[in-house]
Amino acid sequence: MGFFRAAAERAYRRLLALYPAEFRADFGEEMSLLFRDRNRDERLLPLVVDVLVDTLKTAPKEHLAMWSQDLRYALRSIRHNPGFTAIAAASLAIGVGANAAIFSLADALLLRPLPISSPQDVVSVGALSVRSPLALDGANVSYPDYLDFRDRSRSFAGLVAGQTRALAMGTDRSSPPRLTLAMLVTANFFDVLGVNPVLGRSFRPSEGETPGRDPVAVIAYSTWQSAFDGDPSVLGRTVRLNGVDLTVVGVTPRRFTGLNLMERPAAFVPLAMAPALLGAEGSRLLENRDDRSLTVKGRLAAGVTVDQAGTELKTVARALAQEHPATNRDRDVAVRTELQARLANDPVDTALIGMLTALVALVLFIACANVASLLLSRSATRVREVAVRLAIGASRSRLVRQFLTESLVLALLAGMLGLVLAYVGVNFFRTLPLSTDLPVVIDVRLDERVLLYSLGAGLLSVLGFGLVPALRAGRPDLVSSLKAGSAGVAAPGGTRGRQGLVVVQVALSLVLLAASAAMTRGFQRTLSANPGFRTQGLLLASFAPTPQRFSIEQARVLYRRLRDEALRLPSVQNVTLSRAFPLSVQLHEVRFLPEGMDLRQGQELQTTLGNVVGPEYFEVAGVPLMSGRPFAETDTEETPRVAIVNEEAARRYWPGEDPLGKRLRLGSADGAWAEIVGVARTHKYLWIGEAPSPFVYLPFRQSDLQAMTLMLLADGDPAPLAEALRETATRVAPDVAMFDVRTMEDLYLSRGVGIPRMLVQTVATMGLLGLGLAVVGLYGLMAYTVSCRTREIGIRMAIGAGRPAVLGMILRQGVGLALIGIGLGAVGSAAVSRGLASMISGVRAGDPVPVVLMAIALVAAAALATIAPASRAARIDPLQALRQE
Amino acid sequence: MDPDQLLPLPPPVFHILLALCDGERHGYAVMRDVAERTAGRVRMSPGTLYGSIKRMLEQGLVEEVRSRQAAADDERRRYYRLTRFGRRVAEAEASRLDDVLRQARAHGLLPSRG
Repeated sequence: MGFFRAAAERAYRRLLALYPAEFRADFGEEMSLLFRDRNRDERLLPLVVDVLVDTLKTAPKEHLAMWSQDLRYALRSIRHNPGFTAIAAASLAIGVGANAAIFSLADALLLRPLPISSPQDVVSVGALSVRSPLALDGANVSYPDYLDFRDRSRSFAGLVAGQTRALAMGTDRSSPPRLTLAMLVTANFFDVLGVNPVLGRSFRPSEGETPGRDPVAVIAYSTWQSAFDGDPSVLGRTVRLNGVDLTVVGVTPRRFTGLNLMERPAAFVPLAMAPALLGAEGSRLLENRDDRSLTVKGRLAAGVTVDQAGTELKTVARALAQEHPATNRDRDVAVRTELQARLANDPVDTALIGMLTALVALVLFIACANVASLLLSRSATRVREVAVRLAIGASRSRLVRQFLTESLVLALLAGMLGLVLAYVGVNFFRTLPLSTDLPVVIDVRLDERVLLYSLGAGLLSVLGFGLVPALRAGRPDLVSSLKAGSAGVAAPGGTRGRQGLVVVQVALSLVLLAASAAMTRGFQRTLSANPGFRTQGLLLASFAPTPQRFSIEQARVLYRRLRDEALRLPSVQNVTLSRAFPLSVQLHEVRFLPEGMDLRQGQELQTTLGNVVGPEYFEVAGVPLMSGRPFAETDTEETPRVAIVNEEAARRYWPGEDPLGKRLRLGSADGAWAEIVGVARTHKYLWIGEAPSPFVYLPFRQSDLQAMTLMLLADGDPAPLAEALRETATRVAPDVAMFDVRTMEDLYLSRGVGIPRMLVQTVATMGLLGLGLAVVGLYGLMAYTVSCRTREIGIRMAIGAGRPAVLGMILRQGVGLALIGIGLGAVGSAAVSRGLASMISGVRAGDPVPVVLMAIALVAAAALATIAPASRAARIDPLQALRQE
Repeated sequence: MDPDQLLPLPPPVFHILLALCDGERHGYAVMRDVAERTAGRVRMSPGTLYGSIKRMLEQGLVEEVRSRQAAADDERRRYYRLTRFGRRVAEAEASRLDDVLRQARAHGLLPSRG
């Protein structure tokens, strides 16, 4: 045989690898022989061509045939076991659906990637030295620092900065302005982020250069649609922001909603316009190196890692610290992925999502235990089927693959059913109250990410729990299974495994139930206790006079007039000004240095939440002063600066001392001294479940704030006052945006009560789902046990056991399993309650009441789940049972 | 199973059935038989041949001959033969084709016989 012919034969044997292994095992040898025969008789070249074409044509066909056969087997097996399929798919669907719903919430709050091109290459640049509770400016960068980072680094293809502000916006002169969010951005913003306007252009580099020179704006798609009816000739028209006319030069694409998951800016304006839009505050923003309030994002240059970029910027930060010691001493910088930055900047949501994810994972685990348990008992009856099929020549890998196909079909079914449940959850989360006029949303939605997540979760669960039985099925003991007769005797290991699973299910569902009960009790405790501020009789209305129209002094005059007029309204008892109010998102941070305090290396200031308030605030808001005095009309710019702290701040910064008369440096390490003149009682500031946190009040007359909220204390229901107040405001300040007019009670009900209630409902739903799944698991096991023990029970009854005895025996077994689970669950609950107590005030670590209550409920549920199989066992006819064999 | 359910047969399957009508054969013999009968027009390449045989085995049209005495042949070769069901299917397909031909003649597509 020629060299070529021999080579062709070898090559053909290799080519056979294209066929499925099983086909190859059956016919590979024959096919090589056939090739050899033809190789002997035919011309080489036509043979090679013919065989090549043949292989390419028939190999895919064989694969397809095999898959479709697997699928047919899987569908048949699923059809022939409707009970198994229904329980397994429903259990999984519940687990997957609950997880998908929480994922959609997590996605809306934390996970969804930025709506820009290649978001994975965009990182967050933030200052590090100040640990801040809100991270509003603690993680942010000043404009001069931004410029230095931009100009002195090579790690980035581009570095952008921006700041989202609440500004008054109008689209024509006749209608009153309304408050919205706008983002001040560097001129390279859209280009670096890869956001191409659907209409018009992005900013030119020159538009970022000279402060106040280029009054242009790129409006958001939503603004284009709502304010301009999607008019294609919108370019060149005018939007008014804080009284400044800006020419529309572009419209963002619909999917670009800004750099924050929740805030939806209505317009984008060059940062260089900040002085025009924000007055003195805007000039400070551009000039002061310690005005750290910009969000900075960078697109990494090709091949540069996050760590490399971080190292480079740290070098720049060290140089800046040397060049500008007054502002940059001990300042560090961090380059983080978008996700890392979000997790760090939003610890409350991160903790909440972490908790919900952990709890919902338990639900999925309980659901998977049901599936695993079902598969275990099925694999016992299946051993025979497998043995028969192996005996007639099916390969083990084929059987394993077929079981996996079955699992995949099940996963798909569960994933799709789960999506339906997730949809219910998503709709529930969409009712999350936000209670503000600003374009802020929690965009919970069922999108392709949730879809992928559910299918993935279904797949992982089924594979994780289907693989073990599949692999076991691949290795049965042929002879003994064939000998075992048709009874399908359960391997004792199978039942024991299932008992273990049920114990774990009960334990986990107790953990879930106890967690939801502990949270419910915690919130009840918190809500029934005084939240620490007045919730009734208060009307709130926010104002945003623009720096264009109002100097600081003019704004003060305006507010004095508004207050005087409001005091004259019927039933109004008192009126005060406040920058923010309890549970609002507008609370800001106060940075200060307590006198005589030694700061750790890398720290220059303390940062706490704070508020700027009028003298009457403490009376109006119902926050009692524990010592000292409230602010007075005499605390003005001309008099020494004063501050009021809460008890928590006093306890933290001056432990064991009287804080009255102590001093703070405000704003920076060499800021003005302010003397503490009062101590206010600590209350809830951000949300009702928070732990006591330090808080600093500063007087309105010593601040230069312009946007303030008027708080009216009324005799009786304050809601009817809103109309009168609106008329007053229109008369006194016709061109000032008034927004977020509502009663404190509404705010409290939505933020204070609504969100905790939603949280409790979510966790309670998880608890109930877990309980339901565990009960199904227990019921399934007991029913199975009874059916396996029919003969044994028959014998017991034949030799004298009464029906009550049999009933009791099965009940004892079921409830006994539950009790073991409850014991384990109680231990787990103790750990979980410690975690909850650290997150939600009102929850007490190790509180036995929720655990005991839920344990009782679980025992009752276990007894209910066992009663049907037990009574079936008690009805067994001994004669029939013994005849069965 | 009703043989009619399998009709019409894919051409390679019918050719293999025809080749096995006269007795058991191995793959190469089947291939050569088909090639000879069709004057080389129908080629049975390995993938087509064994893919068809695989399905025919599953459908019970053919079976492998396990106890072969023919020691002269290469031992590794597998021989196949028609099952009774396979023969019925082949007959059903032949009669179906006959029917088709008769109709073709009636419409003058083929010269009528005799």
